[in-house]
Amino acid sequence: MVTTAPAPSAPPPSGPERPPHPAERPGERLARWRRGRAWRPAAVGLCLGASIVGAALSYDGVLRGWAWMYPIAVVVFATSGAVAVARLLRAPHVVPSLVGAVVWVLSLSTLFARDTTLLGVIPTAKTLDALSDALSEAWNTISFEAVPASPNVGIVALISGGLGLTAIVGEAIGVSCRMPALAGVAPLSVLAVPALLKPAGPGGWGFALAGAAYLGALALARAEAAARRATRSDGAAVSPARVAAIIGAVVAASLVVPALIPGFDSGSFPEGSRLKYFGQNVGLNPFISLGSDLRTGNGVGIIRYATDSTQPVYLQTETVDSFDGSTWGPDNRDDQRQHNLDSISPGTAQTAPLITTTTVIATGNFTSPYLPVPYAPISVTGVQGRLGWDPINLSIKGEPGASLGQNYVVRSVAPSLSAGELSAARSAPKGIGRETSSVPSNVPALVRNTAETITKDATGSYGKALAIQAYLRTFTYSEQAPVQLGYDGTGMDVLEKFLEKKSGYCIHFSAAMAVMARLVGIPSRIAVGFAPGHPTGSTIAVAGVGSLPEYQVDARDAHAWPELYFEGLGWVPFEPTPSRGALPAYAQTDSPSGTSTNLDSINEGLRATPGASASAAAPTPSPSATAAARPASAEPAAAGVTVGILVVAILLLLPATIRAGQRRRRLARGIEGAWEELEALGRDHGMPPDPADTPRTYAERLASWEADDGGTLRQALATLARTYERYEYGRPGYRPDDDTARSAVATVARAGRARSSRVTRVRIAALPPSAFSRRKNAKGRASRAVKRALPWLRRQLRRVFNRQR
Amino acid sequence: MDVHHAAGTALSQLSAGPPPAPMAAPRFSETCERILASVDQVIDGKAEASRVALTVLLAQGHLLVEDVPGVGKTMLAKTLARTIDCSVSRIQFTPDLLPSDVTGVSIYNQATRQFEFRPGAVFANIVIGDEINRASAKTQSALLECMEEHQVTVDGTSYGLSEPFMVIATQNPIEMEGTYPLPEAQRDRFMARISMGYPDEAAEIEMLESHQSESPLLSVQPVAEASEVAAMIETVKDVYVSDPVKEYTVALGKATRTSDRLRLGASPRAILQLLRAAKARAALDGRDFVLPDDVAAMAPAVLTHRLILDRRAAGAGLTAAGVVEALVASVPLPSDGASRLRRQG
Repeated sequence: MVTTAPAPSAPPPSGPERPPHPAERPGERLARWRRGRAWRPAAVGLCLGASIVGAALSYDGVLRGWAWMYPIAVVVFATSGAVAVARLLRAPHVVPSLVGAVVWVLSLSTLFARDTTLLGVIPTAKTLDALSDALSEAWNTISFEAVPASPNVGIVALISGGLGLTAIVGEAIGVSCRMPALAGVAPLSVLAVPALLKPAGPGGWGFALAGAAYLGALALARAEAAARRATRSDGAAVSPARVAAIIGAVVAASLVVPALIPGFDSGSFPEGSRLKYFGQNVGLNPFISLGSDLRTGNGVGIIRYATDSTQPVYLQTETVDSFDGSTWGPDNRDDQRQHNLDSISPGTAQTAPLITTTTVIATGNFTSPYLPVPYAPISVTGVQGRLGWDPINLSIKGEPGASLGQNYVVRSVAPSLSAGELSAARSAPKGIGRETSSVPSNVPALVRNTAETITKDATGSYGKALAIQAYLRTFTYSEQAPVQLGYDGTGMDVLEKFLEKKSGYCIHFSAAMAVMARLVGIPSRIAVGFAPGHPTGSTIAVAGVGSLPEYQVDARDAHAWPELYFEGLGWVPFEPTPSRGALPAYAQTDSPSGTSTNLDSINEGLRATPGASASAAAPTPSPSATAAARPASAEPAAAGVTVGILVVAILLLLPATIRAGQRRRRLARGIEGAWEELEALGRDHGMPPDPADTPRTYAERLASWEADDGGTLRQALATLARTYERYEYGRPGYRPDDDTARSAVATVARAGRARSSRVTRVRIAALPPSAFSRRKNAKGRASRAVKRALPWLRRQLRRVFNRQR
Repeated sequence: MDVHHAAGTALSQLSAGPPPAPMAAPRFSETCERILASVDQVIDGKAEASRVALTVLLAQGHLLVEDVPGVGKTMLAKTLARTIDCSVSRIQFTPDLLPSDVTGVSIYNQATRQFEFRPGAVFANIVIGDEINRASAKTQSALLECMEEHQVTVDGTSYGLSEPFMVIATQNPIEMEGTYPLPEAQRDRFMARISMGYPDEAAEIEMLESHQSESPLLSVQPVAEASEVAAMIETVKDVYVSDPVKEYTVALGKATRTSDRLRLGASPRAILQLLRAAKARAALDGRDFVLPDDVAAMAPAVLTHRLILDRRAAGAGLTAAGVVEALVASVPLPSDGASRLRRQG
């Protein structure tokens, strides 16, 4: 007897009592924490916070200076940190987000309304008032200020609060909802603001930091997911070196690739579509918004005016007289402004006879702190609000948005100038500020040399001025070229680039002329405002003056022009920009204006022809160019429509084409491909294979398509399934008959079509779901391709290596 | 105690004879059809149960038939044994059955003055163990060891059991008073467990007619030789199993181990037996290769009796069979791309 069974009296145990999962002891819990299960979700949140702060770096240029960065960083990091701590403590469900929200409120209160809080932290009812005040201040800033805006409490509080909230939401998406990839919308939404507002785009540093931190969050989330899946083992976490390498590569590529591919110059992203990295920021800059205005192509902010001047007038808003440094901007002499708009005195002595002009201006929805007026104003009446005039350049400025909806009458004086008077006038910096004649310290040699060369033969200030203007009028007008070639903005380097490329728009022309004028000893400044615009055809009755012709200007008329100082005559405007504005009689030269061209044709192509009075004075581009442009515009339109139709047709046919290609390739691949095609057919007709489906069960399910056709479908499916399973699971070496398989697939396809309605058939043909679905063996096929490619690569390398030897 | 010995008890000292040659496919199918038809003459409306029983026989496993009394457990076992011309023994398990009654005993022969081995009931091609849970654990163990090793060792001498060798044990799950239920470790030795279940109405009426005069069992004639069955077993061994099917089988086993509805999952032995049963099923279906469908089809019979439900799942009214079915419906097939790569590479 060999059995050693227990005595019959002892009943055998009914089953193993030890459960497979022993209860977790406290020590084990700590060990598990150490193994890294708990810190990763916290770190994902912190990384997302860091990516938001990184993205916030790109607000440089949206807000002035850097003071705003501190509160933003404090709020975002405090919020993310609080959420992270809650995650570390394994707070359940929405608790971390709630903790984050509480800390968000506290940090906002203590940073922006500390006086109203209890103990400096706890918000009270007054805090709410203070924050609502801040909000309305922010609203004012957003509505009326151009970028870069002043970083007042309101806008900084709004941005800090918004980014803090973004951090909470992003963390919740990434960690609570376990969709870390989608959490990328958080830094993306932060980057969207500078991308929209700044012509140069978000900038490299902010993008790089945001991207790196976001990729870090993704890597951590992936490691967390891997650890979560491997419930029984410790799980293979991603190696940190690999993560670092991937992050580095992706960020580097995202910075390098845009520099290598051509940028967009039209469409939805005409500018800012490429990063302008590490360069100077454009700073407070009416020029940049001017450039954007010019490029908008549709007139916004229409200003109407009626004037008794014989010619339509330039409307000046602000004046730039300091060119030093990298950013040029208007004066900042708000404290010296005088508020008696009834009597504005030009401040410079005038010897020439003055012509007084009365202009009635309605600003409509033009929004700026500056009031557009013809130069030089001597009185402005009817203005609402408190505005002041600058004693030096006579610009009239008020609160942000002061110009909105104003109706006022400006009386202005302009000297009646002639070439003779100008030639006689000296151009000494007398009675004017030094800043208008000081040559910037960083003028590039090219600008200096050009100025010397072109004025070599000219005599007197006037002659030199005309020489510079004539030279610049041979350039090409283009609003897009500077953006495309990366020299949009201001600064001496931009000027150098402009002289090289000989293409730009009014900012470049006026700045070049202003700087070159100073180089040859003529005080200069740049006036910013609007070119005369075009007559509306109606007249306005003005009390005391009579009926005046009405003109209108809009954003497309935004303009900048240089003003040169001549003693006794004051500031004299010139027009170096070809094809824009009106060339005054005194500034006309013999140089052929026809050599200049307007690449963008914005003014000519889109605008109504100016009235007779205006066209007489307006510089006309070469008639041949205009004539050629008109009929040509019809052909491109037709071509565009054709191309558009073609593109739409291609797009519509693309899925079907892809599907047809897939079908052809599959059916050429024998039974394996035939089975794939069968699965694709199932997908198309709403019966995709289940992962647990065997060939047999799937064929059985598809057999439900059987109409009353004598079992042809069932037979075809059985043939396919039997053949495929023998091929897939049978002994190697089985060679099935491909034609039978193909005809069986065709039978199934027919059955699928027969059971669906006409609408369904069209939908499936146009948008076959299988063309977009990831096949279950895509990964396998990829790995097979790699496996096949590797030996080939090795052979090639060996060959090259051998040849080298 | 009730031990019957059928004629032709095969007793041989352990010796490695040459395995019989595999049977050709057409004859295999034909023989199977004959056996099943013969069994179906007696057991009405239980084609699936008799099919599983034959599958287990061809896969060299043992069968546990578990059901309430009177549904034909013993009848199935007897009919299957009778259709094959081989030795059959039947052991009625009772609490006083001794291990030596099962395995055999050495008796001192006065005439030859030597110990002589008297083989027990287990020395037969098909052993029917009725109400196996009524015997003591010691006796159960004796039988189960024979089942596992296909040999009996008494007094240091091993005696090989003849092939084919199959134990069909029956068990009554209702009447548990005074029984020794098989522990999980012992249940694991049975390749498959089936429940007969009540026949449907038509089958029951037919049964009433056919069983009226005399037991139809008496009319059953053997339709296959034992040697034929041994050859069929060799055929089953030759059935090809591709890598994806192996992967699928393992995945199924793993799924039972990781399922939170099960306290005890399938053992590696269970996985091995599942694949063997699948091979036999493939051969019965006339194929020389295994499909995932075979594995899936055999999974409930092969796995259910080895699994222990989690207490909460049991409380929620789930059954092991239901859990296995759900797992079969959810475990994905191995990606065919990967398998093809392996076949080509």
